Amino acid sequence: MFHTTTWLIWLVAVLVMGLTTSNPLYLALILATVWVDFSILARRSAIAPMWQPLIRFMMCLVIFSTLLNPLLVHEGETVLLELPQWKLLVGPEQRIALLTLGGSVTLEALAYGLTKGMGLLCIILTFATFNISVDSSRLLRSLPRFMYQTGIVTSIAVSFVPQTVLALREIREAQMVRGHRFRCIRDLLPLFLPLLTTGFERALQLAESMEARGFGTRRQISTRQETGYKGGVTFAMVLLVAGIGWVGFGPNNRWWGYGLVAAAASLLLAVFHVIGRQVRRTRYVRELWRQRDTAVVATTVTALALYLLVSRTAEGAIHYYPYPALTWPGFNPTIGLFILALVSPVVLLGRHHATGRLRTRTGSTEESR
Amino acid sequence: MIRFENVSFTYPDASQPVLDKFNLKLDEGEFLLVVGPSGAGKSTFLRCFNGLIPHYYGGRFAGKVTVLGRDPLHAEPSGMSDLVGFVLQSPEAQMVTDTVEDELAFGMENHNLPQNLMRKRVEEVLDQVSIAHLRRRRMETLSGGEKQRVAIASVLTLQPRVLVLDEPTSQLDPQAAEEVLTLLQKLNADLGLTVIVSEHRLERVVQYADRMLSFPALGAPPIFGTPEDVLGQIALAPPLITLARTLAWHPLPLTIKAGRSFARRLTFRPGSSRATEHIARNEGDSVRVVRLWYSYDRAEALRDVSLEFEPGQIVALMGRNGSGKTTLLKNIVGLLRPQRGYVEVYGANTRHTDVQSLARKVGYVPQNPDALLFADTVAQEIAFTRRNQGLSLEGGEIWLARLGLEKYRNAYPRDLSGGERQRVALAAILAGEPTILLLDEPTRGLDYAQKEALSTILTDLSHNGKTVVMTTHDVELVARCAHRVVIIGDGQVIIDAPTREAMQQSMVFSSQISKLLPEHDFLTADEVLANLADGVSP
Repeated sequence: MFHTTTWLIWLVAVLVMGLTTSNPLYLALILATVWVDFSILARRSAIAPMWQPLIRFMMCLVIFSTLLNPLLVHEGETVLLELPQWKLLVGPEQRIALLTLGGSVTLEALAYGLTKGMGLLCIILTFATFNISVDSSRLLRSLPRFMYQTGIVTSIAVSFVPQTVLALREIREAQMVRGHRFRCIRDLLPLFLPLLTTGFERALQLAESMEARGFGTRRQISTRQETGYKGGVTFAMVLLVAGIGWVGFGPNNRWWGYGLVAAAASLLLAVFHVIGRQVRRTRYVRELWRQRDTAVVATTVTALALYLLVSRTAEGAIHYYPYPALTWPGFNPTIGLFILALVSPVVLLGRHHATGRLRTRTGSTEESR
Repeated sequence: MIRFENVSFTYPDASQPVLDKFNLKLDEGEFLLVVGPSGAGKSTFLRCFNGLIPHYYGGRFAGKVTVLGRDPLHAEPSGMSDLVGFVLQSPEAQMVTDTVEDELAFGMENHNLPQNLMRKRVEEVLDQVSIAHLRRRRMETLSGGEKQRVAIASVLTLQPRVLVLDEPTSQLDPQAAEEVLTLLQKLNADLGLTVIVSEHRLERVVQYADRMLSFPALGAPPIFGTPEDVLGQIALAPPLITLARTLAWHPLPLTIKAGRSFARRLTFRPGSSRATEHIARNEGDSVRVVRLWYSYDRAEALRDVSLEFEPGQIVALMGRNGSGKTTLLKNIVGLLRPQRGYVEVYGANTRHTDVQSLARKVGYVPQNPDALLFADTVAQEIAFTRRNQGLSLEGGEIWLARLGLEKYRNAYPRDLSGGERQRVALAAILAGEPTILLLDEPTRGLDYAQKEALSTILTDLSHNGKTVVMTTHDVELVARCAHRVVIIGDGQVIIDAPTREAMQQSMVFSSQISKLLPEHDFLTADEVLANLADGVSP
C-alpha cells in the first residue's frame, strides 16, 4: 500500500476539491472517482464491509435531502407542482412564518438539494476510502508526540462504534426473546440501559489493560514547568483572540492582526513541542517511502494546484447556483481531468495489489515496513 | 521474592474488607494457582501485584506488597508494567491496536524502548508464544485462543518477571484453553517466569501448579499451600479429586495419569447401575430442525443440519468456538430465519412466527447475561418478563427461591458477581415459564458450587417435561446432567448420541472419570462410588 502521508495528502486534495465546488457535474465526477478508489481498495480491506451500511444510509440521506429541500424552500421559477401549504407561525399575533412546508415545489430547489446531498456523500466516501486504506496504528505513529495520547483515545472511541452496533444487536435480541416489543420511546429503556452500562464496563477494562502496559507514562514535571506550560497556552490564546479581533474590527492596518495570529500560532507550536518532549514514547517501525508514493503525491499535488489555479481564473466554472432559474451547469474538461487524477492511488497500486487479497490465516500479502 | 504483609483492602462504599491482614510469601519462578468462588477476592488479590489495587479502583488499602523488590503502591501500575505482566479474562477487552504485531509493540512504545530492541523482542516473543504466523493478522480475524495468546504475548514483550492472569481460559473452548495453559507451563518451566493464574476449572490447570491459594468465601481466611494440601481442604473440587478424597487415595493424584494407578485397583459390583438415562415420553418432538442451512455473508455456519429434541430431554451442543452452535440456538428461537430447510417448535414453523410469540414457548439465555439485565432490582427483572408474557407477577417469586436469589431480591443486578448475574438472567427467562429452554454457554464464570446448582435446576426442569438445549464446553456439567450430546463441527453434526456413548467416542469431549476408567462407562464420581464392590478402598 502507500505511506500514511501519501494518503493524508490524497485526503486533503479530495476534500479541498469536494468542498470548494458546488457544480453537480464536478461533484458527480469526484464521487465517481472516489467510488472507484473505494471499491478497488475495499477488496483488500477487512473493515470495508463495516462502512457499507453507513454509505447506504448516506445515499438514502442524499435522496431525503433532495426531496426535503423543495418542501422547505420555494424559490425558483420552474414550478413542478403545488402542494397544500402548512405554516408554523410565531411572534406577536402569529405573523411570522418560521417554517413553510409544502406549497410550490420548484425544479431549482430540487437541484440545490441534490447538490448539497452529493457534497455530503462525497465527504463520507472520502473518509471511508481513507479509513480502509490507512491502518489506525500507522496513523497514530504519524502524529506528533503531544497528540499521541489524544490520538489513541480517539482511535479507541472510533473502534467502539462497530462494537457498540454489535452490542446493540445482541441486547435487542435478548429483550425480544423476553417477549418485549419495541413500540414507543419508553420501550427503548431495556435497550439503551444495558448498552450504556456494558459500554462503560468495557471502557474501564480497556483502560485497566492499557495502564497495566505502561500507557500514559511520562517524565515527572515540576509544578513550575506545569505552570509555565499553562501560562504559555493561555497567553497564546489571548494573542489569538486579539489578532482575530484586530483583523475583524481593527481600526487600521490589518497586518498587525495577522502578525498577532502568527505569533499566537508560533507560541502554541513551541509549547506543544516542549510538552511533546515530555511524552516518553518511541515508534516501533517507520514506514517505507516508495517510488509509487512519490508518484501519487506528485500527481495529486499537481492536480490540486492546477485545479485551484484554473478554478480561480475561471471561477464561474466550479460554482453553481440553480436559483432563480435552472440552467445547465458549465463544465471545463481541464478541471475534469484534474479531478480524474484522484484515481491515481489505485492506478499506481499495480494490478497485483488492486486485485489484492485480504490477509488470510496463512499469512500476509504485503510487507508494509 | 513476592511478599504480602498484613494487606487489607476494602472497595469504596463497601463495608467488609476483601483482603483482611493477608500474608503471603512466594518464591520467584513459582506457578501459583488461585481458586475460589466468584466474589471471594481472587481478582482483588491479582490486582495488588501491579498496583491496580488501589490506584485504579480506589478504596482503603493497608499493609505492604513487595514484588521482586518493588512496591506497587509507590511504583503505580505503569511503573510496574515492565515487571508484572497482567492479562485479563476477556482478550477482546484488552486489545488496543488493529494488528497482532502492533499490539505486541504497544507496551514497548509506551516504555520508550529503542526501535531495534523492540523489533528483536517482537521476533522473540512471536516464536516463544508460537504466533509468528499471526503477526500481520487483524485482531477481529483471530479465534478466541489466538486472541488470548496475543494478549499474553503483548505483555511478554516488556520482559516481565511475573505474569498475572485473571481467568484466562474462561471464555475458551477446551482445545484453545489447553493451548493457553500449555503456553503458561512452558513460560514457567523454560523462562523461569513466575506465573500467577486464577481459574475456576481446576482440572485444567492444577497439574501445572507448584502452589495453590484458595479464597473460600468473602471474609473467610485464605488457604495456601501445595496443591495436594489445598485440594484436601477445599469443599468443591474436580471429579478426580472428589473421588480420590472419598477413597482416601494418598498422595492425592492431580492428573488422570497419577490417578490410574489407584483406579486400577478398584473393583465394581456386577451389573453396575448407571444414572438414569432419558426415557422418551412419546409426546412427539418439541423441536424439529430439518435440513437447516445458514450462512453469514458467504461463510456457512450451518450445513444441512437435522435434529429433533423431545420434551424432558437435556441436550448438550458441543464443539469448537465458531462451529455453529449459537447459530443453531438462534434459529430455534426465531432470532435467525432458516435460509434453507426449516425449524418447527411444537409444530409451528419459526419462519412464520414472530420472536415474541415464540418466546412464550422458547426461553433463550444468551452467552452474555448482561445483555438481558437493565432493571434496578432483581425482582423487577423477573416482573418484566412476566409482564411481557402476560403472566401474573406473583408467580415470579418461585424462581427467586429456586435459583437462590431471594437475598438479592432488591440488589442491582449489575452489582452482582458473574455467576450471580448468570443466575439472574436464567431466572429472568425461566420466569416466562417456557417449555423449551435454550442456554448459550451457561457455565461461563461459574464456580463448582454454582455449576452443581445449575445441574440440579436443569435436571428438575427435565423431570417437569421441559426440553433443555445448551451449548457448552463444560464436559463435567454435561456428564452430570445431559441425556444426549450433539457435537457440531464446521456447521455439521459430527456426533449425535446419548451422553455416555458420545463421551466414549470423543477424546476431547469426555469427562475426567471417563478418561480415568475408560474400560467402564462411568461419567461421574458419584456413579463410581455407587458401584464399588462392597466399599473397596485401596
